[in-house]
Amino acid sequence: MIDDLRRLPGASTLHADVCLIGAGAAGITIARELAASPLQICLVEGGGLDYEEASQALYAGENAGSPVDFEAGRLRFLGGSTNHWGGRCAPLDEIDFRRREWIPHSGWPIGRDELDPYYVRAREVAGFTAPWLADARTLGESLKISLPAVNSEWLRPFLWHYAPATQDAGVWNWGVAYRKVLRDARNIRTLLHANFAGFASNDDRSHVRGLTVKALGGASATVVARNYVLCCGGIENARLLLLAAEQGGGGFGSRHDRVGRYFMQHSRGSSGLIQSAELMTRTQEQFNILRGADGISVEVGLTLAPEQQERQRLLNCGAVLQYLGDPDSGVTAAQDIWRALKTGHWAPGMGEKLAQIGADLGAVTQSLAHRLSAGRSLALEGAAGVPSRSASIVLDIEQAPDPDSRILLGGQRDALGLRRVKADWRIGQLERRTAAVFTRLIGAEFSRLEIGRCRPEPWLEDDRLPLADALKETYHYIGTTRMADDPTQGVTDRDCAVHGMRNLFVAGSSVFPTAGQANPTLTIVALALRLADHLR
Amino acid sequence: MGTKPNHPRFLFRPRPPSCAGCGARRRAWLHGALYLFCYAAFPAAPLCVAVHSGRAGAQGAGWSGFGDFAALGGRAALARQGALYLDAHPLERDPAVLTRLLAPESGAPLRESLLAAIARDWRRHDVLAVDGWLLSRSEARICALAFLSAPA
Repeated sequence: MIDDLRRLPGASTLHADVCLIGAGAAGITIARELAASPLQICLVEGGGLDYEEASQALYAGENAGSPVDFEAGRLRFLGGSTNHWGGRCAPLDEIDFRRREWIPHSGWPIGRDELDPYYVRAREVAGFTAPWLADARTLGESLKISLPAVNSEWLRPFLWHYAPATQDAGVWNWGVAYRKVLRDARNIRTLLHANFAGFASNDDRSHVRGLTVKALGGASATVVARNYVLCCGGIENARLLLLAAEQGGGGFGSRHDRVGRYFMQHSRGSSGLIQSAELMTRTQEQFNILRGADGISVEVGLTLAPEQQERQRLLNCGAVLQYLGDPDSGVTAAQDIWRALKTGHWAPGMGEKLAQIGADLGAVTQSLAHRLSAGRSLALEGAAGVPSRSASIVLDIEQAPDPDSRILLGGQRDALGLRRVKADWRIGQLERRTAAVFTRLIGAEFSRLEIGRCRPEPWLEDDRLPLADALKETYHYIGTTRMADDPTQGVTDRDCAVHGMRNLFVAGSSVFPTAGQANPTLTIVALALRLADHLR
Repeated sequence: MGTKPNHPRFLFRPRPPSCAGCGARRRAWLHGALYLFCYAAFPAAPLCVAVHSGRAGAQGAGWSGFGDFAALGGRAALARQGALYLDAHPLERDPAVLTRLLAPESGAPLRESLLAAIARDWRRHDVLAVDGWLLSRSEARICALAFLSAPA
């Protein structure tokens, strides 16, 4: 059932076995998993079914470090931030879970093997029905391409899978894909416009006794449950624990002052240009977003080999190529004419395009031959398909955990009277060094393989150039309620329970101790499935 | 303070020639050939023709990356890179030193030998950024020699 707090009678008390706070990827995944169980689930969501400005405004915050766009990065309605998700999925690498002695505060209490079965289940939750391509070999078999033989001691090809689009949304979106499940499940009560207002706990703050939720108009209710799970994302999970500790005079993971610390994102930026004297036709059919006839959609890029991370004491890092189109190319003209023939929209100036093809016949023939030899299994679209002589290397850099990079409570208050969030996001020099070494390795390999020549960006080597100008946020908010077996080192334990609390859990990327280079959603879902099994 | 470890003396140890006259003739020949090669690098097109003549077309077969680079950079860029490299490596500001560092020790053909040296640099990650471009060390030295051998 999907309900609305604003329509409930005043001062209602709802009872459940599990109260899930936040209806994004983590919260909806747990609810869906428990839909067929005997447990009664209450899923509370601060927003409604669609975007509402007043509700979204509750996400505004203050910055003390590198800028975080709190309102652009998150969405506060059913489905949460999956409403603007790009659909990019990959598991974390095995090395991401290890304690890397060259990265302070690294190491998960669980290994990749613990998550492997949940990754398999997570793919189905994220909408994947087509085969999952594990590596470059299966990529070759499925999409009939072979990747250049890069030095595997330096670089590894890496595949990001794209979740399929739902019928009603551009990408897979939990709020759309699972709305029917939430509506029809007899044991799930979804309560919209129900914003966190406070926890009630026992005297020693080891047990949550109730959750107060409020709507912006003033309606409120109390949820009494056996277990509570915060599923509000990497920033809000920390904020709510900080608010609860402030309201309760301690507790809620605050004993060792770890809540909100180790705030990380993947830092994204262009680290260099690959330039070739000729069209990069072949490379564009290797390092790109490739779509197969059987529904597979993958992006092929590179990561820094684990051996190299260890040898050079670096972070993990991923790279994709963003091609810069060549508008004067005959291939571009041929694409325009092909599109015009297919759509029937014969725009003026097509005659000039025919002349352009004639002047560049060699490149057009070469491009056509490549496409035909690929058995039409590849469909390059948009900018990625425009013939290019140059491409930007775009990095997603893992961030080193830093206790001083943190989420705090700000001085301003939101419309519910709660202190707004304040972020002090810091990017360190290890990120710069990782980007510099990785880009040079890519440049050396691409030069050796005659793909093109590399012009690294100046910020890689010049410490005077601020990283905040070169690297932007990815909206992957990570690490603020990190998992650790030792309560002095983290907020949650290996089962995602808040240290010192018997019935309060956290789901989402805030529990990741380190970020890896892969996008976090698949791991968020895998951990949510694991937590759902724990709560059964 | 001793001599810097990257001093060319430590990088290249010429074998004593079997006879002084033959050694001098061989050095003169290498010097001349490298001058010609590097001079050719200035107008990019002839170098591309020369280098591309051995190109098989497939990745990895008959490395020809320097030709691609020359085509991208052009005459002025190569000269600038050579000058910048020499600014950072003043001990190599001598055509004879650069010739020694670049010259094949065996009697291998010059062009193939230089291209093999560049490919080896890439494999060993012996690279440096000059004027914004990532170059192999041998490429940087070719640019430097080209700069020194260019008409004023």
